[in-house]
Amino acid sequence: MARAIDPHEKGRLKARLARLLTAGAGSIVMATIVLSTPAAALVKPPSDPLTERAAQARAKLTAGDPAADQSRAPGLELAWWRNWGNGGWRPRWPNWPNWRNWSNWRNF
Amino acid sequence: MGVSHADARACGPLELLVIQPTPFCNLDCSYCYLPDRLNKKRMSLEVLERVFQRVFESDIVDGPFTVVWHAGEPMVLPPAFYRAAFDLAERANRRRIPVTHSFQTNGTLLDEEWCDLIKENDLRVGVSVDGPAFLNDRHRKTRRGAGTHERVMAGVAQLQRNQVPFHVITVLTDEALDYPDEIYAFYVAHGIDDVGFNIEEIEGPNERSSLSAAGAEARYRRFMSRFFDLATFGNLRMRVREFESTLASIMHDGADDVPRTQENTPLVILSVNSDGDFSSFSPELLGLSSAAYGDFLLGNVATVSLRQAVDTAGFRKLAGDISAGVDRCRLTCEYFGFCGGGAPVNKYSENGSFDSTETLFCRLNRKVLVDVILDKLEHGVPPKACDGSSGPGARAASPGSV
Repeated sequence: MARAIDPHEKGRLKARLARLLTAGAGSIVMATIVLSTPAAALVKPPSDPLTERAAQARAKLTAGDPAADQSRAPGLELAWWRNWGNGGWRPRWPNWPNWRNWSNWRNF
Repeated sequence: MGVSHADARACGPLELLVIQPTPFCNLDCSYCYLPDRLNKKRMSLEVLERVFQRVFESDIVDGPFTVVWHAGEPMVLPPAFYRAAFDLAERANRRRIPVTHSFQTNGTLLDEEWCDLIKENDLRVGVSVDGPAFLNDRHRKTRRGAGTHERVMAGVAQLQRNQVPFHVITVLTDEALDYPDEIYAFYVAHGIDDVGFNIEEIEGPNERSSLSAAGAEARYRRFMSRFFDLATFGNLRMRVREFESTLASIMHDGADDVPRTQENTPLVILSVNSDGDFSSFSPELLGLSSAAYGDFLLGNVATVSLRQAVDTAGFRKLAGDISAGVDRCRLTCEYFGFCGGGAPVNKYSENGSFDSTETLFCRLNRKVLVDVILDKLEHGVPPKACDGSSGPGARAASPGSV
């Protein structure tokens, strides 16, 4: 999947993507991965099913955009106290895709 | 990389100072975890001054933190109290550490004077409202049993007239799970686009949660899935705390390091009651008591520094048991990398021990959310899910007005 795609093959994939567009956004995601998933995303060996699924999801979201890759960002805090607003971890996640700009993500 | 587990057992730095200026609340919500909310005691300015002195003299403060005025309705005290409080904080803050003040309020007392105070001091505001009136008024009531929705929304309107940004916290009970579209429509109708969902938790006096009922987990899953579609593709894009934080946990590779959570790390959260007694870890522990841990207090600001408080047998037992519970989660739960070991108050309230693992809170607020978001990332959202044909606009006949 990580190999370079020749133009002819890419054209066929695009045609398939166009067909998949009519089947819903989920299918678009799958098709786009075929076109753009970087090699690095596939190198890491899986640990457990859930972690592997998360790794694949990260790969989709950051494909072709290293700046969006926060997987090794320092100082992650996963939890926050419930009655507090969003300030806890957000300052450490400055420019990654969020739900406000979801529609701009490349797969959608 | 995240911090190592050994580092995570160290104290601080302080990120959240929860101050209870009064335990009193002017409402009587059915699911409230505060045991003393009829008590009209208020924190004196002398105690408050000592709080800030203790905090700012401590080495657990090494960067910006937030003060949350909460646990009791903070706005039952007048704005003048807070003007004095902010002044005390500023005087004690000799190192000029950036401090943000935040209020979590039921919104019923918001008026022009409060909005002036908020704007003058750049305060952050969270309003508690459980969606449309037919849901909100089932649980969020006055002491006479009347609904509060109208008064809350008057407060929200006051904030909006004054262009004060705010977020909303909505408590999800069993009854709310069938109404994601109605709750979304309510937010849209009132221009609310920053939302956090709390679940009805088993804590303190609230010994049961409606979300423990058979089938509630599946309905919660459907609620979150539907709300995700609405918040992401609906007419008003919303920032939902649960979705953002879950995505953050997925974006982070948790396979080979240990995430840190505020509630499991000593003195990252410091909670102070109106008498100056303080505790750490989950703020909800303040006001609870147990045979094993007494009242969960670490000391009083009048007599004990923060460093002295953590050099006691009581603290070591508390911190040790919480840490053991985190270790147990790490060893047994596949979601640990997305969670960091749960929340101590839920473990204690539901399992009777900090040294324990799964709770209702973590099943719903961690596991289900990770499942839902991963599923969305893997399969996407059907484009027609929120185009109006099946969304809020198509469901005008809701059980109550928005």
